Amino acid sequence: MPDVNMPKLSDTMEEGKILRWLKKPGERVAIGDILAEVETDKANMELEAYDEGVLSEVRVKEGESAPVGAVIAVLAGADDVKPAARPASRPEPAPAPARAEPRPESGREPWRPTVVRRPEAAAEPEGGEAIKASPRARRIAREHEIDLRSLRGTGPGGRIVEKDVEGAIAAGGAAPKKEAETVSAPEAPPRGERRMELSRVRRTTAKRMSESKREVPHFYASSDIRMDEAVRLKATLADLGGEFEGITFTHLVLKAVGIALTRVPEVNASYDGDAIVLHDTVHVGIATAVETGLIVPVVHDCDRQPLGALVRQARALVERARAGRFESADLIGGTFTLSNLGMYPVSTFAAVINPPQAAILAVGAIRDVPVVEGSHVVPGRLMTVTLSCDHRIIDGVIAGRFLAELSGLLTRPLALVV
Amino acid sequence: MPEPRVITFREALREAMAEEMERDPSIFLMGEEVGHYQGAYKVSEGLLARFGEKRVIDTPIAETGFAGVGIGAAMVGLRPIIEFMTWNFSLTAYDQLVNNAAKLRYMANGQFTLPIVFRGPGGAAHALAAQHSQALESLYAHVPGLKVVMPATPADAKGLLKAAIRDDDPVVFIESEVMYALKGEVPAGEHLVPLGVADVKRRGRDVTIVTWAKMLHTSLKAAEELAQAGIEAEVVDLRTIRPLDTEAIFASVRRTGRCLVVQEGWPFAGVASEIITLVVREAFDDLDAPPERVTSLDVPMPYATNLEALVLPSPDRVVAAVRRLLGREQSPARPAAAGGAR
Repeated sequence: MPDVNMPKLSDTMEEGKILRWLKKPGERVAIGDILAEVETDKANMELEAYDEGVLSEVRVKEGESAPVGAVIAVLAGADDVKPAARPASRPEPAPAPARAEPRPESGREPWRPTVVRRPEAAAEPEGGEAIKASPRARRIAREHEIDLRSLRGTGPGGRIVEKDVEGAIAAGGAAPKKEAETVSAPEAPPRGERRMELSRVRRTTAKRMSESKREVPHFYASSDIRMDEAVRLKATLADLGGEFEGITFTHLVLKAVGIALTRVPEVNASYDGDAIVLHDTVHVGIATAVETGLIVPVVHDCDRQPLGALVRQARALVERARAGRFESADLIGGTFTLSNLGMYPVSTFAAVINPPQAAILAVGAIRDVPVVEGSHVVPGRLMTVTLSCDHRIIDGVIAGRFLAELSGLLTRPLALVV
Repeated sequence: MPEPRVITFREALREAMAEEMERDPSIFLMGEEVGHYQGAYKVSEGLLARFGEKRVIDTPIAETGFAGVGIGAAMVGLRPIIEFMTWNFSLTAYDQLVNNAAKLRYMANGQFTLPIVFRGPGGAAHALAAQHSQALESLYAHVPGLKVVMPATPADAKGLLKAAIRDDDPVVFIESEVMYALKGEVPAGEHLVPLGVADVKRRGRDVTIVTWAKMLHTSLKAAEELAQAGIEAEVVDLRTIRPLDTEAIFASVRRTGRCLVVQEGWPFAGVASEIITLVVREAFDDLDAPPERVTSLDVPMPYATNLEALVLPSPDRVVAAVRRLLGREQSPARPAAAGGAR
């Protein structure tokens, strides 16, 4: 029947007040459980159990004080339990046992020191271990509202370092601490100007796009592609329905890009400091506007999947993205990006590369234009695409070869369905 | 803009002294063997013939004495350059430097300035054993009132020595025997490098190496090797230990997130300790790893050359420390992800 005594928690402490019992009589107590909060002359402390058993009796009520050494509670049923070593996970040393006299009213054993833990010493309230992260990683995580607990550290000894947090940010932000909300404007905006807090997605876009434009030497190559056949093919496939239901020009371009990338693999690449990384897989991201900003769901294996399957996959992804139900897996692994503004009256534009990818394709609207065929001017349908390339690893000739392949595939689009 | 020519570190120092002595008749050079023997390491070669015995003065082997004479001369308005044959011998005159040179302007409430330069080679050369191989800059940088300057290239040697001679406070100017023959481009004529301004000698994004003097070359070699492995080290040459160019250090560490200090001196209470303390305090939130240092081992220098090589910081040790800071080698391509077009 071990007693629980009022510990001496400071040199000047003579008595302590029980602020709150965290265990009730009848409850099981394990070593290390917090029994009570005690107010001393210096601070509020937590009183940790040194023995295990069942709390059988509480002798000092909440709000009452007891002198150092007094029995404040009794644990029962622990007599046959071997005195276990203190768990190693409690780094706080016990305070030096005070040479307090056993109180006469205890009458049994002299009191034992009780392990005491300051509440503020418990770093993670959820009971997790202290997170090992570099200060830089912590700062960036704070700025992007990334929860460090959701990350795996790859630094020395498993430390979370900058790269790990950047990885999470790139993947759209791991488990967010709190949803970054658009802050509503104050009731009466002073001069017709409102300040919108950046959403997490927007912040990531801002950071990555400035990085890209700052660090990646872009060059641009454009091509006007005859789309007459592709327009007919798309109409035919749309009529067929089935897996082609909801087919768009984006899907046709996606398939054409997939094939062109296998024919000019230098474009399906990443820049990695001292190396060009050529990707064997062809995973194409589709830049997609969502409420909170811009995200890039990735359609896998655009070279191998038949057009119908691509249509299904791309539609599902974009739908999930727009509904805000996308997962981080939807956004990673891209080797190339497609940005299509063809649904707007945009004839041509140049996109910013999504690093570390080597290139991005900007797709404009299909226009009715006069085209010279032999010695005749005929009505034609033209679409202008612009390839932005990372000049560190792609030269103009490669861009030209890629656009030639792409143009060929879209001009005679049967290859996309066979 | 003066034309750069390739000359040695030794010639750059000589040129700095000669140009300044031409410019200002209150400057004189004093020390052991600086005159008739033409300098123990031939730094002052030809200066006696050019400026005469009143301005290039041979002394007995008595560091306390001639350091004190120099301090007295500075107090009454001359601008002495005091040469120690090596900084190891300055320890005899340590009291003169610490208690007189560093303190008199302060204790006289500014009635005197002390425009004096103490110069000579410091650090290890080859097999000079424990008493003659010491890098003592932290001893002098410890003392408020002394400036400590340590060039690593011939151009910096010239520009810094000229600036040190023109400075109105006592300057400890530490050269290196093994760098005297180092060649480099040096502007002819007026070329001043301000005291207290560091110089980034190599740009890099992955780690900052803070260093000075001879260790600059060790660090640059290491940086070359690291570059082969895709690790880009930025090498910051302090040039002046005190006043310390903290902003240059912090700016670099803020970019790279990692800091390594490479010094020739011993680890305990060395300049590296001070730099790392400042970095941890001022750039804490930018650190991606605990700062590291590479120093000489904490022992008196062995005489045996193979052991000497073990004690001194080497490019290999710098490379190893950088790899520790980075945790591992660069991993392959990161996955592409959100962000995107337009």
